[in-house]
Formats: sequence, structure tokens, C-alpha cells
Amino acid sequence: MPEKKHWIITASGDRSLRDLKKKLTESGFTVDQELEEIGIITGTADDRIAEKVRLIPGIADVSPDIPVEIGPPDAATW
Amino acid sequence: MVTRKGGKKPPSGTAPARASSPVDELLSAAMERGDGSLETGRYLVTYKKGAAEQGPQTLSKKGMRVADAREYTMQAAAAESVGDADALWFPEIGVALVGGEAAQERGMSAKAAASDNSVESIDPEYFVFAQGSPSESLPGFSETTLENATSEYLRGFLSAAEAIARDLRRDVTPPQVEGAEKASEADATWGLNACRVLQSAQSGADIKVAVLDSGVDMGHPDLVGRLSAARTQSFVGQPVQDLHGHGTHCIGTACGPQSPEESKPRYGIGFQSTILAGKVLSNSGSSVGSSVLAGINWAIANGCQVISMSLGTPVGVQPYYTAAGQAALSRGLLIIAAAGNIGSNTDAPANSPTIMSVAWLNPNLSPNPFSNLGKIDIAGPGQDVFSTLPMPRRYGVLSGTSMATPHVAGCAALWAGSSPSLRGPSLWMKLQATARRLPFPGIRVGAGLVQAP
Repeated sequence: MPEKKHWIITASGDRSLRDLKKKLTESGFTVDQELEEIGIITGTADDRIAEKVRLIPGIADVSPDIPVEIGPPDAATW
Repeated sequence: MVTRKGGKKPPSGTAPARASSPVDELLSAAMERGDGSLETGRYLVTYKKGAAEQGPQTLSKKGMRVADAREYTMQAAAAESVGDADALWFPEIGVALVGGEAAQERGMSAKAAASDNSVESIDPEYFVFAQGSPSESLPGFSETTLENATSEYLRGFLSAAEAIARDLRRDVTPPQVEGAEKASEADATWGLNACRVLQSAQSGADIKVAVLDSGVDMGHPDLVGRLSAARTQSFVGQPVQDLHGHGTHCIGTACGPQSPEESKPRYGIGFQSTILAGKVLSNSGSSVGSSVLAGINWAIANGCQVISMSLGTPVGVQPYYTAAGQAALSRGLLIIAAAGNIGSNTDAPANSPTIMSVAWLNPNLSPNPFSNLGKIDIAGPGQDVFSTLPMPRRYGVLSGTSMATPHVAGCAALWAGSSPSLRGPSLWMKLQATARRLPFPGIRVGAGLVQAP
């Protein structure tokens, strides 16, 4: 079974997120969050599916999710 | 779950690693050992699903005194408080913390785990750290051995633990005023003076400021009347209560009170702003992009005018952050983010063109060498910033672009409060147009030092 990863999908804005969510789900992409205010959908899928959903009209970008940390490497912060 | 393999002898420091050993004691022992190991000397016994209820009984049968987290309010059991118990049992997760000696005396090891039907694995406990220290980015650091690096790391962590312990012991005393010049500054922190906050007639009233960070100390005396459950939200599966400290510190700078308790200097800017605390970083100070995006989405849906984000990842421009910044600007909201502190290119999300990037200034108004550069829009006071920390620490001094960012966010709240036309893109332009010019290139300090209206 191919490894599933977390992805962040940015909508182009010319199609509703609800429509996109439907298309994504049909393609085998598991939607976690629909962020209506910023036109972004997050979720999980393997690489093959992520590559495939890039071609769905209304999707501007498919990027892997990334780790985020606190800006300052401050020894006094822990 | 990784099972401990091989016959490596468990660490045996001078002081035995008891279930109740304080972290600083464990760290001291680890440093004395000097073997580069990040093991604490204690063990974590993980029970199989379904067999978890047998945990305490099996440990008791081995002759151990077992403390149960259920004996504590809200199961808020701290290992330090279990006294002479050999083990501390966490029923919700089916794991027991066992002291090093207690485990060794009873021959508890990965091998022994295999012969016990109820046990999934027995693993060494490791130290956990929130964030690296600046020494990691110092030239030549990469040439040091792993052992040295670990020892350096432990030493830094220990000194932080000692500093906090000192703070806990004494009731934080007022800062010592040295000389007449400083006396005139005692009304406010150097950062607020540099931003000319005290001269401003603005308070940030009617402006909603979202700080997306590690949460907030809901009971902090300086903030308590201004926080509500309705305006706090966690996106990381942990309660909003800030067990890290970073979020509470940033909120203090952006929105702290006009007159802090205990005659402290004023350190907060938007003292009448509405505070929204979104926990997008876990208590260990880490997260993922989707949690940050969920926080931005929440802040927009709640009608905020300013978002302060002291977080980042050292990667190139991410299209989703650019889109989120654009969505925010078009809704009259300005996202302000820390450039990062490794003296390298600006982190994401601050590197997105739709998100305002903040550099870190020292008190002499020069950019700190660790402050990232490249795409920088503005600069703020970031060195030795005094602000709130979760109780009982109450206050503390931290440094970084993380501390510069809420200075800009606080000033943005004051400007937004001064005119309803200053929103999103116009607020961005106003902050840059009014910034105090500095004799450094734009790639270091952007438009200059942020100023209050």
C-alpha cells in the first residue's frame, strides 16, 4: 500500500470548494479540512493521487504539508 | 513504538533516575555521564491495547509502589510529585513511567517485554526540547562531535531550567534601575520606547488581534479579564492553555495592559484590543502548515484586523500561504509574520508577498545577525524583550524575530484603531510609510523600525 502523505491544496477561486471537495473525494483524496475563508483544502493521499488531482480544473496548487516551528532559536524558550 | 535493542547498559549516573526525579537533576546526571546520550535513565512501559488495565497490578506484583495519574485533579500528574513511588501510571494512554533503578532491579528490559503478554514494549525515556539554541547556527558548530553537541544542548537546556527555577524561588523582584537615564525608561520596555508607544493616543480599541502561537495562559493576572473561551481555539489537539510560554509572551507584547501588575514597566501595546488566541503550535513549539492555515481561516472568520504569527519553516515561498495572505488582505486583515532567526533567507510564511515579514532589532537599532534577511518588510524590537510568561513564572525576557513580530502587530492594532480606512493593504502601506528609517539595507530591516501612531 503506497504511503499516504499530508497535502495542502490551493483553489484557483473559479470553482466552489464544495465542488472541489467532491472531485477530490472521487479521486481518492481524503479531505481533512475545508478552509472556506482562504480557499484551501487539506487532506491525505498517496503521491499518485496527489499528482492526479493537480489536473482537476479549479485547483491552483498541490503542495506537501510541512513542519512549522517557532521562529526564534532562543535558549531561554522551552 | 521502537523497542530498545542490543545490550547497551542503561545510563547509570551519580544520582539514580527515580520516577520523581526533577528534570534538571536528570539533565545534570546526563551531563556528568557525558556519553552523548539523550536518555533520561528512566523507562516507559507501554501496555498492549486491552491489557492496559493490568498495568498497575503487574507493576505492583513486581513489588513496585505505583502512583496513578487518576489520583490527581484532571489527571494533571507531574512526575516530580509522586514522591517515593517507583512508577507513575498514565491510564489514558496505557503507559507507565518507571524509575531507572526500579526497572533494573527487576530486570525490566526490551527482552523481558517480549516475555510479558500484556506489555507492548519497554523503551528508554528521552529528553524533549522545544527549539534549538542560536549556537546551532554558529559557524563551526557542524564540526563539533555529536557528543559535544548533545552536551552543549543539555547545558543550554539546564541553564534555562535553572533560570526558571530561580524565578520560581524568588517572587520576581522589580528590575534594578541603574542611573538616571534608565529611570526615565522605567515606565516602559525599551521596545515600547523605541516604537514610541507611550506617546500614542491610541489603544487598539475595537480592533481584534489574533495571535497564532502556542496558546495562552488563560489565568495570567495581566491578561485574565481579556481572554474568553469563545475567543480561543486550539488547532493542534491540545488545550489552549500554553504549557510552552512562547504564545503567552507574544500576546503580552501585542496586547498586554497599559498598567501591568506589580509596578512593572509597560510592555504591551494594544491594551484595549480584543485578543484572539489560536493555538497552532503544540506545547513543544512545533506544528504543521495545515494547522497554521486552519488558524488563519479562523481569524478571518472571526473578523480580525491583525494576525501575528511568530512561527515559520526554512523553505521557499509556499503558494498556500500566499493565497491565505491574499484572502486576508482582501478581507481587510493584515498577516504579520516572523522572518526567522538563522541568519539565512526569510522563512515561510513571512517570505510570501502577501504576508508582512518582520526582522529583529537590537536595542542599538541594528539588525541582529541571526535575523533572517531577503524579503523583509519592516523591523521591530526583538532583543531582550520583557513580557508575560505562564504562571508561576509570570514574566520573562526572550529574544528573536518572534518577539519583534508582536511589536509590529501591536502597532498595527493602534494604527487600525486610529482610522477605519487603515485595513489590509492600506494598513501595510501606513506601517511602512511611518516606519523610522534605519541606516541598513532594506533586505535587513525593510522600511525600518515600526512606529506607533
